[in-house]
Amino acid sequence: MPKFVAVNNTAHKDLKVQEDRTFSHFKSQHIASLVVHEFARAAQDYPIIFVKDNETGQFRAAAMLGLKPGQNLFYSQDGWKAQYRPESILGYPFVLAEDKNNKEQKILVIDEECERLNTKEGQAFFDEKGEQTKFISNIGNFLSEHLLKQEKTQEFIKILLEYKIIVQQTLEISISGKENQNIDGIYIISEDGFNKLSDKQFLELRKHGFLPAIYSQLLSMARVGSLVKMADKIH
Amino acid sequence: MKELVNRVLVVGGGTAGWLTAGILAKQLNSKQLDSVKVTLVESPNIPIMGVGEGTWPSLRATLQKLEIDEGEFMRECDATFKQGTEFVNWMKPNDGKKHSYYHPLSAVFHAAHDFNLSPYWLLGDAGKQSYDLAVSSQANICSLGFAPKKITTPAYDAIQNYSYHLNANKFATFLAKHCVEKLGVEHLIANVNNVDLDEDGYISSVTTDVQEIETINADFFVDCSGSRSILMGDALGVEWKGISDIIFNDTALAVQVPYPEIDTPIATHTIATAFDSGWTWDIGLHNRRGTGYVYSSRHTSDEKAEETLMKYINQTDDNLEVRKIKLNVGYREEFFNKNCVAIGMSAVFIEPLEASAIFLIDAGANMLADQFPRTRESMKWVEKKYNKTFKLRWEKTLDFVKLHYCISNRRDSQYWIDNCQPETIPDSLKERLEHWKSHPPSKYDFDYAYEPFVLDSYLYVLYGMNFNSDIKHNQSTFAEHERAKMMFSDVEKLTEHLSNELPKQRDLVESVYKYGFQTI
Repeated sequence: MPKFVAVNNTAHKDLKVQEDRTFSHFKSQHIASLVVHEFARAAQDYPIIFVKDNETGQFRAAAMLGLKPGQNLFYSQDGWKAQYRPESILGYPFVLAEDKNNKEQKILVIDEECERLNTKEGQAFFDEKGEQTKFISNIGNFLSEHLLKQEKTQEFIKILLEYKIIVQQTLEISISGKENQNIDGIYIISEDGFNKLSDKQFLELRKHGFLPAIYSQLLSMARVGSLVKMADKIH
Repeated sequence: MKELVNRVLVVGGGTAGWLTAGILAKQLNSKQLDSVKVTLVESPNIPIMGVGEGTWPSLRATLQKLEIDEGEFMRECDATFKQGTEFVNWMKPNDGKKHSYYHPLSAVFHAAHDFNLSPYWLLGDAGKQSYDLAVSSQANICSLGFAPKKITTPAYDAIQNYSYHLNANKFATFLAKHCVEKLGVEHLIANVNNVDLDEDGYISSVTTDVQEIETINADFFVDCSGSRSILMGDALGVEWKGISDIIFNDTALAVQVPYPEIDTPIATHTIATAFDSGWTWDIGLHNRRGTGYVYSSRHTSDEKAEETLMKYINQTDDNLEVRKIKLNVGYREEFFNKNCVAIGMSAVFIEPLEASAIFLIDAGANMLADQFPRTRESMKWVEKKYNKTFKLRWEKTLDFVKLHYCISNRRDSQYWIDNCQPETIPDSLKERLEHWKSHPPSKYDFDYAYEPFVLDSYLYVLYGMNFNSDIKHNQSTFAEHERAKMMFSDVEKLTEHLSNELPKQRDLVESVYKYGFQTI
């Protein structure tokens, strides 16, 4: 179980974190959240889909990493098996969380259960004076920017929903030597719906800079075949 | 030149008024300037009755049609999910155990219309399991307090069929805002003092106590003024017929009960508990329970009734305000007359058992909207059809409500003895009951398209109350035992599956208030 605590220069004075090129924390995660800004790059490696959050019912964008819960086809002991890595997996073990004392404020927290934490090797959190290292402030900036990108992504999803161009899609997967398998709970952009938008709606999407993301999502579905091939090799 | 109907005036602003105005405005596309204009006039000082807090699944379809956001509606009206009714003590105790059964709303799975399980249940294929638990998962889901869907289920979609428990006052306010802002309904506030008729006896206008809108002209009128019925009753003189010879309950005491804790579980069904002279309702909203005792004043006194209610809610709080409501149960001889339709309590009024009030409003308004006469010449035909359909709905509602009383084995008070006297049972119900003594009810016993209570509802109540259908002589007809047993076992499996999948009622309600539902 992860245990998140605020990063501070007393408890974490001597703490270091080792780099993990395998992203082992995500090894049994079959999807990874995406922000709209990375759709074009992510589309080279992953099918981009929309899923509903089980707690809130709200949509988020995600890269498919596997074809069933628990399966991550990109995890390998030799390192992540794709050129592009979703931003959402880069920050761990750091996360921005709501400050209990000031709900407007976000603070940097860390999962103390992360195995890569130690006092000997890796990037230090604080220098001898107890000041944040460059590493920590970079992480902080990266996560804050990511948060803003998430907000923009929600804006993107809101427009798609308003224009009614997100549709539910059942993926039928056939892996050699196995029965065909259906994957539910996946939502994608309807190409047909997108083509039928009015000129005004189309221009609105262009104005927001959302057109590349839409085309990327549509093209990314070809990556389902790549995932199937990766799964085939396992079996 | 035909006299066109270009303007409708709805008189009265309760649930009936606003629901009707909304349904008409939506169907007639009143936002468009050349379309029929819908105006609603309501009194600034007559409070709306607002006790009806139970609804039917048909309301879901209506709200969706009116393009209302389900999450917003629920949040604004303190609404929760309703999946049926539990009837407690409608039969005498058996072996010291109190009697109780469910009438769930679900016909999503295992509807009796497709394959009627009741004869197989009667012949023992479900073992000793009670009827409600044997044929549907929803009775179990209710007793466990699970919600009918998940936060990821799209708005208005169901995993188990559902309707709502809601605050009727807030519902009227919510509808009013939506009707005016989104559907193009004109809202006027004034007391109607007088109703003017033309030379043919049709209503031509109403006059009010507000100078700027002293005379409101319209071509068509809807009477939603409640039991006062100022159009249909007062102006057009259509008579009111009482039904106190069939349904005895004529008075209600209502009281709102706060939850003891902020996270007290909320029941996902109405609890209707029978007493010596009536029954109590118990409806869980988000922030409180709405409870009340509806009883026959011929069989008990107000004091005794209050005692019964207080004992039921078992609260020590002295500040609870008990509101007394007279129920003038009955119906209007005609619901559509000349250029006027009565909808709501101006048309029919029956006690709240089985929550038919909002359903009858919804059904009436939808039929009126669909059949809306755009010329005066066409009104006669619509009048005939509307009256026929609505009368059927009303009579069937009356039959079904009476069913709950007249097949009881309770004889512990004069109320129950009187309720089971054959002369108090409508012939239409008597005939059906007679047939069902030797045959299980079939879908062909319910052959009207607009029947409000269908086969499944009757089966739940009949066999929930141990109605004796002796079909042994006819066993050979029911030969699909294996199929039936398979379905009984499917129900068990589904129940197991759903109880792992579904959230608790309060958890889902809190999430919906916070996040709403997605439209897809």
